[in-house]
Amino acid sequence: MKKRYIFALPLLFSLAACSLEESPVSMLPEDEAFKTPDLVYINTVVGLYNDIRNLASVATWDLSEQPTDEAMIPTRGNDWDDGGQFRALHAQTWTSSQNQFNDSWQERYAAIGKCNQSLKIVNNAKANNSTATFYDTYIAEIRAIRALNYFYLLDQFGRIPISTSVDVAVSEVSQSKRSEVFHFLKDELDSVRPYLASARSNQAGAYYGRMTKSTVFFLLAKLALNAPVYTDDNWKVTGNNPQGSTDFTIDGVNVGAYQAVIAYCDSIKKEGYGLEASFASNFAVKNETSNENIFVIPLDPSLYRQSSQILYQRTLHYLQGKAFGLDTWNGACATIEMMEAMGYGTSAPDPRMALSFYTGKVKGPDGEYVKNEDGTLFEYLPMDVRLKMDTSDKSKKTGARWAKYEIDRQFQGAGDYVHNDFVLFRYADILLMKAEAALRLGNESEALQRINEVRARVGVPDLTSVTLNDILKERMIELSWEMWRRNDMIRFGTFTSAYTDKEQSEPYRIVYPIHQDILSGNHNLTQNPGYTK
Amino acid sequence: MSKFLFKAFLCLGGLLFCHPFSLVHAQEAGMTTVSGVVTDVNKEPLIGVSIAEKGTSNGTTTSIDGGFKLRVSANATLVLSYIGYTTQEVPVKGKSTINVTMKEDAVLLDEVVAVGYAIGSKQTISGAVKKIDKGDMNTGVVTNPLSAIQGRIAGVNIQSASSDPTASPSIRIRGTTSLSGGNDPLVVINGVMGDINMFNALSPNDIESMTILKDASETAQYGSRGASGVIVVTTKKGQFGSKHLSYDGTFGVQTVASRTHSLNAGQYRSAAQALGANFIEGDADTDFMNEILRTGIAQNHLISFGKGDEDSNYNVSLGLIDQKGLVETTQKRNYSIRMDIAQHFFNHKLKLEGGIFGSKIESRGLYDEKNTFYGAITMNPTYPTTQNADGTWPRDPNASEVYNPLDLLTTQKKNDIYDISVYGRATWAILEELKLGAFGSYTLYDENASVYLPINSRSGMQANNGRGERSLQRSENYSGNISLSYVKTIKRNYINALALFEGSQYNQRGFGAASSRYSTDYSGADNLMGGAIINYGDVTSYANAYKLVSFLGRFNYVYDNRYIATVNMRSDGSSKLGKNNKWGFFPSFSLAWNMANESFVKNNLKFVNDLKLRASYGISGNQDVISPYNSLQLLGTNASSLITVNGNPAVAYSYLRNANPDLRWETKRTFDIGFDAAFFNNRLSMTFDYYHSITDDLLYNYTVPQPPFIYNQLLANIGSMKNTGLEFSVSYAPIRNKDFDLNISANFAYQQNEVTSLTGTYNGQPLTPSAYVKLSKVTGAGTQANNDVVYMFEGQPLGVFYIPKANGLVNSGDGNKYNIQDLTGEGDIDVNDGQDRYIAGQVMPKFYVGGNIAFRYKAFDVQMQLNGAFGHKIYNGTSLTLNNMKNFPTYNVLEGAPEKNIHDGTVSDYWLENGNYLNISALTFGYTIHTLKFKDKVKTLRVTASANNLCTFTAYSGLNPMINSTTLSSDNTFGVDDKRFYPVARTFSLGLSLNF
Repeated sequence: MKKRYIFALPLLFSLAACSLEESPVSMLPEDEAFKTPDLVYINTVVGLYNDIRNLASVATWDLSEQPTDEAMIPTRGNDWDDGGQFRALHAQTWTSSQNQFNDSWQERYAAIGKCNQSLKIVNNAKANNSTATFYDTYIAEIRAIRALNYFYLLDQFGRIPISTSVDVAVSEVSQSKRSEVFHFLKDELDSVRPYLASARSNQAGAYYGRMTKSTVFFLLAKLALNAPVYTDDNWKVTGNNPQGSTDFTIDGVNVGAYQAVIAYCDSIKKEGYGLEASFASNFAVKNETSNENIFVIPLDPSLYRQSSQILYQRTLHYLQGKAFGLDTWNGACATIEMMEAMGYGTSAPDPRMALSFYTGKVKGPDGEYVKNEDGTLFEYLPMDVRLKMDTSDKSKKTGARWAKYEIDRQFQGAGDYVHNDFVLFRYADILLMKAEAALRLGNESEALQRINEVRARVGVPDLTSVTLNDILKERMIELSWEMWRRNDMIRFGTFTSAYTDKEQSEPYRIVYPIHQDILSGNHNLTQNPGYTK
Repeated sequence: MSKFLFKAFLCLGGLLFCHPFSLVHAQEAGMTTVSGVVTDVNKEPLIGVSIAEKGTSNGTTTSIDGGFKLRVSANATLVLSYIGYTTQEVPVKGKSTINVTMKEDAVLLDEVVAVGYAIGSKQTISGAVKKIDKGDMNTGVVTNPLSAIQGRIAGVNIQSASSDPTASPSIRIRGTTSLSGGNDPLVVINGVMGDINMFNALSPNDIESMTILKDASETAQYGSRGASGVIVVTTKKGQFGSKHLSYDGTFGVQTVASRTHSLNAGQYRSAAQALGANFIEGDADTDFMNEILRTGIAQNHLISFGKGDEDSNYNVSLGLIDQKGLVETTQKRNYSIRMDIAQHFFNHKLKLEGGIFGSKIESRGLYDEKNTFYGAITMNPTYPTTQNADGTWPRDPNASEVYNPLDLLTTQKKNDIYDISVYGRATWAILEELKLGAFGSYTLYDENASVYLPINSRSGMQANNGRGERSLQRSENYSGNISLSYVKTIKRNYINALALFEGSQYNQRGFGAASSRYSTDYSGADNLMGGAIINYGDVTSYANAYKLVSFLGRFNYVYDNRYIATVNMRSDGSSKLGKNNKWGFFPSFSLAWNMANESFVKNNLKFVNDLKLRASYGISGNQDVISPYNSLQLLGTNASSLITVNGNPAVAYSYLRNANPDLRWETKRTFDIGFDAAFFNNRLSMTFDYYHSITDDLLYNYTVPQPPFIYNQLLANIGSMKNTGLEFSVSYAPIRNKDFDLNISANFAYQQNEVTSLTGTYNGQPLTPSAYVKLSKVTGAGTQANNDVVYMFEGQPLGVFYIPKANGLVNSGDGNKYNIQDLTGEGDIDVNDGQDRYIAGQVMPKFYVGGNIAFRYKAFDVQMQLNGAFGHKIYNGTSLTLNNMKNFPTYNVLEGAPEKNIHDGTVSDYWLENGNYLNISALTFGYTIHTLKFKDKVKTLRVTASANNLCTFTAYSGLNPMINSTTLSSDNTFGVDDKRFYPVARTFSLGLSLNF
């Protein structure tokens, strides 16, 4: 197209060409955005936390909870039919076209892409000011945020591209083996840990909502506990009986995965965490004082705006929601297995049942029972829930609803902007991980002490002996709907087994498929084993 | 062109040339009275011929039978003039009867056509250009300039997808040639370049003519903005030789032509009982759709006055268009004023022109159109129309997706739009043939929007118990050009050359503010401090700007009135494009052979009045979709940029999109070949065109892979598209005499579109966007996943229905289901992309037809306009959703749904329907009263009675087949009729047109 230049007068051209430079005003050019170290910090590091707030939204929760024996979104007539996507998730009959696979991938890789962009900028700033040491802490924090995103991708999709730079062509992006992603992630966490603050991330203050030493210890503990899963690249065959390695190094010494779990759990304890006296206080409207929560997504309708339907909007029945002024969606509810584990209908159900689920009549904010339109008392029917139901009034009330998070009377929007911080990592989980690791190492007394510590807090009698199954059940009761059930079931080999409205599924389903749109956008990527469509 | 209207127009023109005060003068010696009849060569009387006594101001005009009577001095000479005819001088020589035959003037008939920056005529234009005059525009209540030419021009498709007064029609010239929204033609009003918004603000009655530039021969003059065609608009001007005052007005009543019906309370109760289903009994019988409807009113008034003489002319127009829509609260009012002045100086060496246009549009729309109508259909019909005791509106709590439509009507949405446009032009004739021109213009578009959601409305409750929003968006454009033109005839050579330099600066600025949690609705959005909560993101502002710099050279050469050649060369520089792609070059070439002027035609084929063969090739561009700074890597803010640093709130800037430093023009290459012909005294005329265009470097927000991209969308130049079409228009006047005129005209367009490639390169790397590019789906309440309907594929027309195939219904025991076929033969039904789906038809019509029949008997006339489109399909998403009995009775259904007994909401071709239609868009009866009856007071008076949207012939079972079948848009309306059922209006109106 050089010919275009022959037409007009070269002089006029050069004059006009100068004036075609753009000078944006309401957006920042890069040299303005990173002018000072403070701006570098805000615009490269702190801003990244906005990109992980969507962990409190639906995609991650759906992939972590719906395909398990503790949660489901059943179809009630046409409500929540949505082409059968939620039934497919719960029954584990999904194909690679489920939206959730695309959504979760996009959310996490958008965050990773921004982390990579930030790293590039901070590395440049560091190169121009080699005496400043604070850039190393910036870099460590960015890499820790990136690692958190990789953790969810590793857990969901196994074989994923490891992307550490934005200046890469599409053709250079290809998947690594699951075991390689695992090692990459472990190395990342190991190398950033020394730079991170020893501070409380769940509590208001300078480190509120941020990656700290404890959050990295928590992730390392999860990696170690699941090492036999994550390092098994042959899961198409061994999916329900993970065959990976239990090797795990700390400071260059192979201590073994379970010993490592114990070490990380102890490190977190040393940071001062402990169980709250009250189970419920971890999920209260003002739960930022909890000594138990390790990592949360801060939520606040004004300061930390993130629409989160999971807490109550998506689960509560319309009438219960209406009583609180919420516009609720009558979706997610507990399975029959969840209710059985809680001891529903028995003389002494686990106290955590009432703390975690609405199972019958419910009270409105005025302390009065919520009523049906005809004046009778409204009541949930936990044991009548099925994956596919008719449109009747009764089926709309089936299934227990999540009650862990205290309903915020100061909510905004339709009930999706709330003050309760969304809990991702909690110390009770640390105790149960330690119990499990100890038991896997044959130390039953340690395991009993840790599991009973958790039980004692809610007044449940101590166990006198403990098996791995006891630990899995305890995790279900204690951590219900906290986005760990799928991870637990895979590790214990129960993920593919049959339960109500779900038949035995294929071993390859322990890893999700890559969405077909993602595959069609980059022909280097291949589908995870077992999936034909 | 309708012969009658043409004549009426000529008559009006003639009147304006006459000298009304000349009839009053004293008897003098040597005076005589002459009378006679003026006819054309066919002995048909000519009405309104101006007859003047030479050298005096004495004169008259001919009446309806061509007759005249004038007192003149016995030795006077009469000067007879009439537009389109040769002026004649006839000496009186004492005669008392003088009959004159006027001859058509070939030169004058060759009307001047504004082609962009240049002016041409039939004799000098070599491109595909169509001029449409006021007389050829649509009749009845026409509230929009686009509606005025709907169906009139082959290849120009205008569609009003809704009777909502606040909605504007869409326009496509020669189909959709781009994937982006920048597909609207460029509009040039009196030299001021603008967009469809500016055009829409204009009163249709104030338009004298429009010229549509269709092929690249002339659109290349506008370079990077011409790819989608250009509409050159000329408004009313002060006319030569007289002052004028005119009024045009129509007043119409809108009734519901068709609307959707759901089960009434009785049907609802019995259908629910038949199913044994519980429902909430509200003890009333409400037709909620009827509750939100009313009789609409549409009126349009324009007063214009002006004057013109050899030295100067001016015109002032004042307009009011007022529409009250069929749905309560919907309303639009447009006040406008236009003034244009021209004055010559220094012996006509210098001409100065200027004009100003101002308009205020007050529009009151529906806050949530889709849910208003969805609620009106699905709301339990036993509910009453009144509010609950606590002020909220009743609704079934189980029907979470139903909004009481009466509740939604309490929400307020107001948009006040101010359009101002000012221009000035100076033309200096350095030599008679060499002119230097300078032109400058300023346009302002201000949109002042406000929304208020009352405390007790459901949408208000969802937004913190009442929410008010205000915003102001302002776009300004400064443009100017300097030109040098040279027009000269040397023997048989005619040369028209133009050199032009142009610059445009665009500034866009705006802000918005909102608050929520109100304690009273009294002030609404007029006191945002009435809201207690202001969240981050509730207060916003922005500013951006871009520039265009252009050079144009145009050379038009005619040899011996037979051979025409035109060359345009434009070079555009735009600030919006990537650093290395700022400049684009847009050339065009065209040739025409005016065969009618060949002696072998003149001598042997005397019935031929006009015969011109044309061919052109050229390149034009498109950049509208690119917003400023898109090529730069910038950091910005959005609603989630708020963070905290050390416990204090702060704002983090972040990358909000993938930048594309490679952005360049989308270019369209067009080849066009055609002919214009007129035969038998111009009674039969026709135009034919074949065109073929290729658009390369298509701009689109492509889905790109993450990683390495941060976001999955990238505005990039990838792919290409092909458009081929045939256009044919014909006009025939079988009867043309004193008492009768009959004119039949029709136009046909065939369009074939193909997306030829969707792959390309970005930063030197091959990039393949997603295999399934989704364009529209069935959305919102009551829908399901896998609800995508319209897709884009390589090798297919833009917008194809890619959906599962249903072989009717199958009884599942649990009601009827769509019998979806296993197309892959894999033994299962999987309606996901790439599985059991097939390409079932195209969204865009293949054929368009426009027709007009005009008949006159003496002073009475009748005219009918038809529009039609064929060869496409429509996805009836409304029927899919509202026939689904799965949620009945919680959600009410359409009449007849219980009998169909469908319990399925899966998208399939079951509801894919033929979209063909033929619409009688206007039928007008008119009566014209001529001057003589009112003498000096009124020159003409015309009354009309019209019906608009009289009826539609279609096989489509939905409300209206005239949906959005042409415009790619993000609101899922492209090819999909989905619960946006603003009822179809039929308008009956009376019109009055007065000329003083």
